[in-house]
Amino acid sequence: MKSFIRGLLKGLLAFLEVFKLLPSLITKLLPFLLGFFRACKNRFHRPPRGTCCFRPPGVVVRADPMIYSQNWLMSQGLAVTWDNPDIQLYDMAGNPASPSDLTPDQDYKVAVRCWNNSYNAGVPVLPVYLSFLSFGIDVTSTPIPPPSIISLGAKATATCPAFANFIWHTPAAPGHYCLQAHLVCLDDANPLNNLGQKNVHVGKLKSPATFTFTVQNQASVPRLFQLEADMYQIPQLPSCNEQPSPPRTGGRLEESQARWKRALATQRYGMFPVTPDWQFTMSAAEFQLEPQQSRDITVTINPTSGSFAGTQAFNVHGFATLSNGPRLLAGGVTLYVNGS
Amino acid sequence: MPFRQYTKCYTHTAGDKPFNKSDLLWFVAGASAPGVGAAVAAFLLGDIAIGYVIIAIQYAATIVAVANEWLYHRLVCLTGNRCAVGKVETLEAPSTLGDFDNDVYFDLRLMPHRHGDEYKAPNTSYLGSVDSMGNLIPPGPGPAIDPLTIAHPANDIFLDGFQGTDLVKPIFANNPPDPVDLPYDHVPSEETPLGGELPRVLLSRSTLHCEAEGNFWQAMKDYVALQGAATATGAAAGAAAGCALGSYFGPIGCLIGGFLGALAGGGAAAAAGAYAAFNSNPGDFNDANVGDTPIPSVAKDDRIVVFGTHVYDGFHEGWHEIHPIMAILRFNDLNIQGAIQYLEWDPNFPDGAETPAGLTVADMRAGLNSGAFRAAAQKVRDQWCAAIGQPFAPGVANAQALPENRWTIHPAVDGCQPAASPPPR
Repeated sequence: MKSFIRGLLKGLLAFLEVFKLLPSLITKLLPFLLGFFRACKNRFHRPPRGTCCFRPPGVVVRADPMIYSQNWLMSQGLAVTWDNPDIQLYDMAGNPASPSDLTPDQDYKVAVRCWNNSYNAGVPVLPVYLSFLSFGIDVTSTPIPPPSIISLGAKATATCPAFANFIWHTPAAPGHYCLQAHLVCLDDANPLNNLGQKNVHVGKLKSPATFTFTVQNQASVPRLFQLEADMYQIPQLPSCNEQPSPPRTGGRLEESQARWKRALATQRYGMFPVTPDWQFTMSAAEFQLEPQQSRDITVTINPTSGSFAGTQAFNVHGFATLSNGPRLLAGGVTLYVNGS
Repeated sequence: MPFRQYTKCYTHTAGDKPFNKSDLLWFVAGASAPGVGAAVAAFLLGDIAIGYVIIAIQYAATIVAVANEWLYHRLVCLTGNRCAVGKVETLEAPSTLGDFDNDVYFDLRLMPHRHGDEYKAPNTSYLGSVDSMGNLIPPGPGPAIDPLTIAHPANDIFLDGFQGTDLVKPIFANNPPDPVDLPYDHVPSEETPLGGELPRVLLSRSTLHCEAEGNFWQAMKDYVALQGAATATGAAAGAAAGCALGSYFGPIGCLIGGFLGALAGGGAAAAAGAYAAFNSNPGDFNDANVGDTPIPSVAKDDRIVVFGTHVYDGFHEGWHEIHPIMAILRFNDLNIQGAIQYLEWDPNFPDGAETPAGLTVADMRAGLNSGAFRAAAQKVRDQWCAAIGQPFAPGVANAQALPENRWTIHPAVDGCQPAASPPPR
């Protein structure tokens, strides 16, 4: 009886709501008919409720741990630098150190800055692996154990970015080395943006500046290597006041697509060729390497005018092609020329 | 956050009973009574058209009344937005009217419990008892499937002082007179993994029910004017057809045929309207970045953390649940030295087996009875709850909307320079 009276009262109140909803006779007609059409299409069967797995609408969230990843950016058509802004080297006193000017058999601090491209989830346990390579393209990588385990928050939270810190004891053999950082997350929204490399050499302009690096074929089959140079540098960021507002509809995917489109319009690979102001020569730009075979490449850089003041970056990207296979980015180096 | 929420939980007061399955028929009868009476009167007076208009309005009002109860007077607020860490156990348990909504639901076995901790009887003594001297005897553990749980009583689900106590143990049942209004439901063994072991037995609830909301009842409300019109039209058409067929037997035949035809036509139109609501599409909100891989399904035995509102669902006899689920995050099940991921205690943990960092075989066997194990379990829960709950913290949504946080490629590539900070280089 209590339920009947409650129903009676609630039903009377509902009359008022029904009158407010009368205009929906017109406004909701189309979605109602679409729903009815879908019901007909499903032959009035309810969706099957399985016992294996489910996909709740919109609630499964994933983190996207990432660093500046040359392979990912290049695969999407963007120009890249091998001077990775997310991998920094310091001496034990905390002063910035150049990877091209390292003391052999010495401890250095390495800080890897990790970002999260997800607004919805962090990664409480994120292992970051660091390794070093001799300067070159597609050369052997040597791990620097142990991995650093960090906790990375969602985008725009206090723990994003997070830093993975390492102590690296440089090899006894003199030379200069590159660093590679790899973030490992099993449930990663985009696992392709987790590997970044810092591969930099600084040379003094002594008419000309000369650099040498190694290209090695790590594959088990012969590959054709092609080297290409450009002058891309990470651009000066615009003021946030100049940023266009995100689209108001379509969710974040639409916004992400719009941002990629804008970046590709201004930073596409191929838009930053070596200018006529520079004479840039490589000892070889295209060559075949057998498995594990390596080849030293010498690069000479000279200003056309004969003199240059300041610092200029040149990137050399190495692409490897299997016979009849796709052309893939194998690695690269960034060469800085310091003029007087 | 793109989760859907149409319901609202309410604060319970003594004497108020949430919308319940057992009340449904009487509630509908009460809500429909004025219109049914008025429609019958109109038909008897010969105002046939007015009668059908009344049917349309009454049907709509009844749907609105039921939908309002379902959406706003079914879920009792408990402890706010909470997170729970556990293993997906029972998927898509069957229910009755609940089957006629498009929610997606599952049960979660809370960390660090194992299958053997689950109750095997309906009379788990979580309330305690009073002895002949009037002294309160605190509740004891079990009965659990595996007696070893009782030998390590801190692993009893309701008494674990951890997630089981926080999220599953009946809250209102400890506070008379609420047990009258808010009884705690037992779960049929068929709806648990024990179905085969203990057929047709009611068991104390051992897992946390979690539901992601569908839009069925909201759509029923949204389309209510159309449903009312459709139902009245169906009833009228059915009555006309029934009368035409029945008139072969004279006026009485027309009357009976018209009545049966009205019921059939109205019922068919009402069902069609409900199916249209069931198949309505609330729209998709694509929250991905360029390059994101498709989101995989969540499967049984997945280790997850769930974030959502902790409520008491009073429609069935009542239980605690997370409703709506606001986010689900899978565990990063990597075996990394020095990092503990998911923990599950095991009274039979073998000698010599690899233990999580910092824990011994004895800790693994004692479970929550071990201080080290409890601390490790709390740390895992806190870490993962922070990972999923952080985006819901006050101020985070506003920070995420700032232009400097809208980058999608890399802050150094498509970011921007806020006025008072150096660029991210």
